[in-house]
Amino acid sequence: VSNTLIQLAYVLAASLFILGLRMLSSPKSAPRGNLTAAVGMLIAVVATLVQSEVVDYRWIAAGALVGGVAGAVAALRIAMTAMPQMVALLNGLGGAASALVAGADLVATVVDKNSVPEGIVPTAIVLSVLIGSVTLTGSLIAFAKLQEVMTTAPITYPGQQVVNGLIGVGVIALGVMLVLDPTELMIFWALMGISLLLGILLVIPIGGADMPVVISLLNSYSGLAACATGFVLDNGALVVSGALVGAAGIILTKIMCDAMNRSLANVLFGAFGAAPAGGSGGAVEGPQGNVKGYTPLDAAVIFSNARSVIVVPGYGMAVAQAQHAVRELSDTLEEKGIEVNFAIHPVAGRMPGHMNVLLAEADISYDKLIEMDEINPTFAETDVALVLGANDVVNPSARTEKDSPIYGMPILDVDRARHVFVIKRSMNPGFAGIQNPLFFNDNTMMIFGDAKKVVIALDQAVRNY
Amino acid sequence: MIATGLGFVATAFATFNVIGGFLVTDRMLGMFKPKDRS
Repeated sequence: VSNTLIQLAYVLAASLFILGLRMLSSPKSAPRGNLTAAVGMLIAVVATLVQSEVVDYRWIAAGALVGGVAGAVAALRIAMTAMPQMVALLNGLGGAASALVAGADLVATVVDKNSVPEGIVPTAIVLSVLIGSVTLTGSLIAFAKLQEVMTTAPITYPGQQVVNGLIGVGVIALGVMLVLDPTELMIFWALMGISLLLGILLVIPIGGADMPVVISLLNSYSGLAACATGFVLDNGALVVSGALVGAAGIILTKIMCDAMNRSLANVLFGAFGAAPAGGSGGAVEGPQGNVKGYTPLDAAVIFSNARSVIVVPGYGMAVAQAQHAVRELSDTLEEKGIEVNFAIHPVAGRMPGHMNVLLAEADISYDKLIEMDEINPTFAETDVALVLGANDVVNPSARTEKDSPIYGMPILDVDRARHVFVIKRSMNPGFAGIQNPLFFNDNTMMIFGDAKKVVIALDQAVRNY
Repeated sequence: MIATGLGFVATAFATFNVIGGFLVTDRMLGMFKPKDRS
């Protein structure tokens, strides 16, 4: 097959990626958008196989079979609530693949062909192995934090920034050395090792609540690594698709940082949610006052007399798998002529769009899911706000307390509703470890218990009212 | 030989990413339904 034909196939694949991404921006066309991008990927893979010279076909078939089956099984069996971890894993493997391909290309050129990589290739190899390796170990740490197999709290130690800085200098030094002498394979392996270490060290000081931002950023990195690998292989489709992922990931990262009113640097290096900084004696001074505990039966009276209800879901809903119970409650309320909407904070949950996916799984219409800026002005005219396993995103101290770590973060203004119900397992502070004055407000009523059980009981009580 | 081994693992990881990614996206998107769910 002529080279022109392969290049044309790459252009076609890249066009399908862009078209697919465009279609993903509306829920209606999104499934077709995903399919369009998949077709683009198939074309790119076939074109690459025709052009390929790195590995012989039997090994490609074996690798694709193993990875394809494992990927399909994982994708079809993973619980919707575990989706953030799955995305972290996918990013990590993408980064690993890029780093390994860069390594394979270098070894094949230097050892097998006894030749020297030229032009932009050594630089691209360095970038690919660096970014790809950081993406792999960074994603694995994010995975471990989300799966809670390791502590979700930031891991910090004295001199951490200095250690990371020195490793950064080491990475740059090894990178420059490899570009100057690409035939020295030991430098390559050393660069890979130190980059893997860097990925771990960069993510451990970041708290679990910031994992959505980290995942989005690592997603961007996996794209940049793929883009660099595209230059190594002189594969246009890989350059374009990698650049698309890199750009999309960084835009999403920016959106999420803006939603928390924090800079990316603060998310990455701020050790958010760490032990309270300074202060006399270091004790956390929480708001004082009476917390009013209520039962679902008490709540049913107020719900039944409401005209409008806004449900504010958070990570607690995901943990309790309460989304189906929420659907039932929403249906019951609507049958009584009560308007029900859902307020979606941009960083609710552990993944961008986490709440949307869970509520969609429970068959809740997507036009009832309303974004923060649109729904905030309506809280003042809303009878009941039901906070379901959300905490930091409804914490009013973000508006008022200048000392609060979340000061300035845009929040959902639930405290402006006439009545606020908060369903919570206990009075423990949220993921960020910050006390929430909302719970002590006069118009706030707490219902303690498992989100799913409480919502089911509430639904029953409203039905029987 | 080393290159083949690296390429094999890379292919497995990349295919996991591609197949897993598209399937998981399709699963998530399949759940989004418009107003009338009758």
